[in-house]
Amino acid sequence: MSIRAIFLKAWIVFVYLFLFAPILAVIIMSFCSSKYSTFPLGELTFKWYRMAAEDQNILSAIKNSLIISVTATAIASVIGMLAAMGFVRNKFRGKEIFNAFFLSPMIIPEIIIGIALLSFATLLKMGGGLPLIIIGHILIGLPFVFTVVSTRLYGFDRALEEAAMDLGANEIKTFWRITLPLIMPGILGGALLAFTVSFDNFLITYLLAGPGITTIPIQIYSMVRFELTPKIHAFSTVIVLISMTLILINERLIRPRAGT
Amino acid sequence: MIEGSADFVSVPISKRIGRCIDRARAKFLLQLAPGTFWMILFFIIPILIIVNYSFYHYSEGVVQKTYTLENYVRAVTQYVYFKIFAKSLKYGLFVTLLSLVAGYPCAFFLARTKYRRKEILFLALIVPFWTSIVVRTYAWKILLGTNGMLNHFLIQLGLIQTPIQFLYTEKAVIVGLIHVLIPFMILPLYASIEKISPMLEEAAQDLGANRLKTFLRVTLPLSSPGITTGCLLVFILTVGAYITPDLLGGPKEMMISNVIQREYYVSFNWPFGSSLAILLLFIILALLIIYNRIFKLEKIKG
Repeated sequence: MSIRAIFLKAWIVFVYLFLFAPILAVIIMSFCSSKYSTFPLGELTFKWYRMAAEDQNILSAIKNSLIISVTATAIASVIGMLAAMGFVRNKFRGKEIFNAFFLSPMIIPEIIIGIALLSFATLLKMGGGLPLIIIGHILIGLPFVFTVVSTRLYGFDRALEEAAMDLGANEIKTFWRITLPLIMPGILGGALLAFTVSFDNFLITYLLAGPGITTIPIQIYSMVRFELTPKIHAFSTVIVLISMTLILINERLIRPRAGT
Repeated sequence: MIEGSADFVSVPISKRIGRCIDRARAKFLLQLAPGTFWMILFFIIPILIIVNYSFYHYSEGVVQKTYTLENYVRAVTQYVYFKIFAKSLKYGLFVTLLSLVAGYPCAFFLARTKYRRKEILFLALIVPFWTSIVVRTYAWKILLGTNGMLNHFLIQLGLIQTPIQFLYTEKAVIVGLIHVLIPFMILPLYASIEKISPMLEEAAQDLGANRLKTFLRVTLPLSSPGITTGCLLVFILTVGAYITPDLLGGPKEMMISNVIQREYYVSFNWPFGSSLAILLLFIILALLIIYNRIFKLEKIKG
């Protein structure tokens, strides 16, 4: 192995270490028996996991997060799938602009989306809270569903639909029996990403929540602002493992095996 | 509906095609309607509302609905705000360049390696990308804190006597941002390096170019789409960062998003906060337009 190759490998190891060190630190610290997150660890314990599971604030944050993310994902999936079908299967003027428009919530800073929605809700005297947060989460989930389903639709053989229609199926039946099952991996993949984005979202939620409503990221944020305790690390470890599992499911089971 | 009940066969063919087109058109509009409706109602209109707010006059806690440019004048001329914008752009530049330099070798390795477990390395890159940003950011507090792991190791190794203050500094913010954003650099780089045929590099070397020259004249220029995309994403996401400067930088290291949040939730000066947000939006849009131009040029060139 040449020196160049050794340097390259060492650099790769360094970057991966850089990516994973903080996550590993959280996981390690969650087993630390002392109340203060200092190093070295001392004795190892599971008690913080039990304490996190008994914390009412954490439990209510989990409940809110699930309500928000599940609702937002369901609505974003349906809207995003329809938009992708209309978009991919038709030629129309301004198609490129429409595409950019639909993807823009991905790239526009969250602070802008957050205060804009807040101002909108205030003008309508809607007030903050769950419905407004869900509206915001649908907005940021849509581009993910839209792109993933679009990609799937581009590789779709429309002859299959024509065959179904020739054999006597009407449009609705064709959709349910042919189109939907074939694009299902795209919808599931997009939905999973939308769910992850919603589940992990901090800023938009924080700006729209108003007093009294916490979600998981907000709960973690408010706990770590002042003090790091092993209980937060335990809770965070569980959340990180959930996110990782969802992404592994997406990569392994849902995404079509193309290239890598 | 007299037309609809007309005998199918007796309808002239041109009309039947016409009706088909109408149906297709109706279906098309129905498919796009919910998404477009959502985007306009909850994205475009709210942004227009803050554009409107940004021209309102604000004094002593009251918003007056008279139009003025004073918020923009203040945002651009008052030194504090100018400094915040300059700092955010500076961070954007630093984080982008450092991510590019650190990420390029990784992307190159991933694209060219024949390593069997490549897929695992790839997954390892994507997984943190989707993991809670709040957790990944606060985790740096464990590593960088005064009693944190890094200081502990440095003292154990005898390199330092007293702990170094890493947290709540510019460096901590930049490190945190690179950590969160580097996958946005590596993934587009990977995608464009993978498309370059290794034969082109071999050809250059056969023709007498050394490794460095091959890299500078062949690989690097051909990977420019990935470089542009990666840099654009990292820069935009850095400029809009909120949680990293908040948790790792503290009040000294505020960036644009933190100042906007403060204007909205602490000072309640919504008109001024809105004008800062609109300026931020303009920066982002300008970058996107430049990016688009670059790509159109590249398409024309080759």
